[in-house]
Amino acid sequence: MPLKKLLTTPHRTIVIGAGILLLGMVFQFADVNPAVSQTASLTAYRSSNDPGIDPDSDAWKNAIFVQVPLTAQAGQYFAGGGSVPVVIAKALNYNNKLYVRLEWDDATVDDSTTRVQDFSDAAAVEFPARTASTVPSICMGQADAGVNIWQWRADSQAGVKDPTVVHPNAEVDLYPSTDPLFYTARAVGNPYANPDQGPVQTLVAQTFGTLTPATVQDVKGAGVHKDGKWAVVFTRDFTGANGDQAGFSVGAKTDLAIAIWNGSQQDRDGHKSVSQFLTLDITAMQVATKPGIDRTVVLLAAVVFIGVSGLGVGLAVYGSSEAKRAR
Amino acid sequence: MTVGAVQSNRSTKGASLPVTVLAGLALASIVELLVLRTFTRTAIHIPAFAFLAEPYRVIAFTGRFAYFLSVALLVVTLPGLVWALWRTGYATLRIAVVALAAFTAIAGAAAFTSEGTIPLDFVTVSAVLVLAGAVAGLQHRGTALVAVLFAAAFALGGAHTILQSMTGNGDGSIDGRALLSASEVVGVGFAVASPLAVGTGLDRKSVVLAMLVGCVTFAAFLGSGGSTVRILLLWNEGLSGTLPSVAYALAAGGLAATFSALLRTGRHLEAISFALLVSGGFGLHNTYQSGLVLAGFATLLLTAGPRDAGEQELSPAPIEN
Repeated sequence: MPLKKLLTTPHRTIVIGAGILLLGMVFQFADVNPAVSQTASLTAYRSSNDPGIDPDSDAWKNAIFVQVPLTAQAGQYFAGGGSVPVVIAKALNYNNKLYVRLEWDDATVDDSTTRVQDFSDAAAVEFPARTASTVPSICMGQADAGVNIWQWRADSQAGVKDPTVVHPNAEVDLYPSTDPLFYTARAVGNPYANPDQGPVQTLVAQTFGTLTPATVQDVKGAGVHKDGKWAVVFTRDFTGANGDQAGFSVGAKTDLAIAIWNGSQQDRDGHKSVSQFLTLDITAMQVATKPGIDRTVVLLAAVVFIGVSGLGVGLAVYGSSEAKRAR
Repeated sequence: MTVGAVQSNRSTKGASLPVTVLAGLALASIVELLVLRTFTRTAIHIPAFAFLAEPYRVIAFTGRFAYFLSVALLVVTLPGLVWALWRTGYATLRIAVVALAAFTAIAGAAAFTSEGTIPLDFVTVSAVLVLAGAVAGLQHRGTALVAVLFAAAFALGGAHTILQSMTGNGDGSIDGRALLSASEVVGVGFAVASPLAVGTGLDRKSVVLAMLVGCVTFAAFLGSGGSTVRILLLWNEGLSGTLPSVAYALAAGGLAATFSALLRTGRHLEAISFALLVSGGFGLHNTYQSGLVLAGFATLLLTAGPRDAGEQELSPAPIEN
């Protein structure tokens, strides 16, 4: 049957419906997604000097920031969180390394977890383990799409506190041994009991309950608390040690989500503040040298918005009179 | 009776192909919202998940197919809506068509380029404002108010994203948190006020459904501190869930009542419009969700178009009232 006849007969619905189904299947099996992300974009500009892991490095002074709104975390059981409403994120790239800097308000430094009632301040960034047409679940990824998480902890950075400082009135008659055997967590390599491994862990997960430290710990970082704010830097080579860790390259885009724990609010585990995924754009362009607000651009944007809103109002008024005439 | 009220009584009984495609888009996008954006992202919290890994993979595959099918339907629907609105000959609709066509063209082009999305974001928010303006002019007061509230919430959330993206492009760093809060309040206001779009009083079954949905939503916010629902709100609808739980219960109840009443009174195209707006959500997420929102507004415009043009484009069935 000729195509023209097919499209003008009762078969038309079937033909067009089959065509749309076929198009959907092509998109799915070829992993082609014509939809483009419109979420907030964090651009990792090329830095002219090595930012290092110091959050106060000069390299960050001119870096452009993005405010990322946070909310409470989902969980199987009571999770809560959401005490940190917004985090300021910056990113740079230098010599095939990605640098991410997070800054948020936190009046208290919670860097000791020696007592059971104490919880540590912490921050994490999450990337899809591999770039695909749809992003994985923000909650530890999903069965068919893993995530790579870099977590910094204030207690790991501060090191193990002397028990006599944490419990000044405690009396110990006899401590049996200083042999590592009696420090069980340290003996089995628990990273929280081995602060010499650094304050940042890289972890992988493919669904809830599968979060585990990566076999190679190749992410560096450090945090500084100043003027009621934490600032934390993460850095890693573009190429991850394993295939289950995120990879980066100049000119590529990936997704990035952020989590913040506030120890004084008893944040731990799923009890935290989290963002949605935003787009991380790694560019060869150098970071802008002129920091601050470009008032001309803001003014132009405001004029466009007011103009378009005015067009909408005008259309509403004109449409109303046109509708009256049509009655 | 307004033009919109007359046209909105049109049934999709014996619907033509465009109506079938629109209904298919609404259905596929709702399935995608429930399965891909909601189920696959909460099912990971099921205890002993390992035993359910295979069924999960099957459901996740189905959800992803619903997503890609929705995208394919959108690829067909948006140009179709541009054509349908243009052919009505209504000046208001033709002006609105320009905004819809601009989004369709730029979003299509964006799929082939890795350049920044700021022009696309501007066009998206502008198109939503222009289409909402046209809806406000042509539809009756209730629908007009609801459309304006949705567009305002979308534009406020979108403006925050644009400010952030401008920041990322070196145009300065601006504190836009107030925009998010305003978007949250107006977005919930849209959902609470949505029964006004029905125009007449709600039938008893729709009211009962609204109360049921409202209670379930309120209970969901009580369980686990509402954290799961709040993150789903942020993820799916662009709202961060900062208002009291009762506001979201009222919002969910309002939307359920509206959807039910529109379906029960045979106003299927308007029901499709609301389904598309809700599955699209507020603010800028991606061109797929923005496309759903614009398709929702364009469908609302079609129900407000002149009778002859609307009938010609949408349905061979006679107008019931």
